[in-house]
Amino acid sequence: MKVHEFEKIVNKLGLKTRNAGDRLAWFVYNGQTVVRTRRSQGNKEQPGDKIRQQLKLDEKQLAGLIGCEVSLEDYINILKDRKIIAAEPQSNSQQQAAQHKSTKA
Amino acid sequence: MSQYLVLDQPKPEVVPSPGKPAIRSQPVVLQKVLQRISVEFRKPEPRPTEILLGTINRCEFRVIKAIPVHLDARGDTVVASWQQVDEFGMGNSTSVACDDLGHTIAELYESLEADESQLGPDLAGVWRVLKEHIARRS
Repeated sequence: MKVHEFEKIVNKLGLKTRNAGDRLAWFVYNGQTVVRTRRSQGNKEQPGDKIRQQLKLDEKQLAGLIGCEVSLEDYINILKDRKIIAAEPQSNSQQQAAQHKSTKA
Repeated sequence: MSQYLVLDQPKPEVVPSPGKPAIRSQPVVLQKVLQRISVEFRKPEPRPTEILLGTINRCEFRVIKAIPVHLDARGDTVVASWQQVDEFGMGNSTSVACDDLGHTIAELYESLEADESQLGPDLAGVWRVLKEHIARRS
């Protein structure tokens, strides 16, 4: 995975980041830290499979996240399907996705 | 009658050259007259794919249970990963990758410790596993 692809994911999902030697990133949903990932500093090729596992995605979903097929809302639904985050009424999920979008902007 | 047989010892190498047989030889005392010898050329041992990590390079932490590390060579990069917690480190050698992994594990420990009350179920599981293997030095 290229650095710009990692950064695209960070921006799309509105991940919280911290630079501590490496660039650490967390996905926070409803006040809970749900998943985390990281990339090493510099422009080295990143191990996409390891980042994919940290983000709890399969190959197709990761490709969609880097591209345009998987949105923030889709990602939240993927995590719900995998029981990484608890399911909740649809309206709440949409609200959260909208909140993430507004934070990014 | 005893007879001495001394085989040449290869020059020490930190990392054996790939494809070059690693000759292991040493002086031996033979109890009989030498009539026939057999020499075995061993293939160089490949990089292990699984190791146990017993220390991490952050002095404020100690490893209380060895960390199972999977090693994966990708071109000139080695990726060391702890699959149970989906964490990894990278470097141009096994030791650098393990150092990086140790650094990452320490960072993860500090992050999860700080957010302990706000972790999702998956990260709460990661935190439980981390605490089984790593502890802060008192």
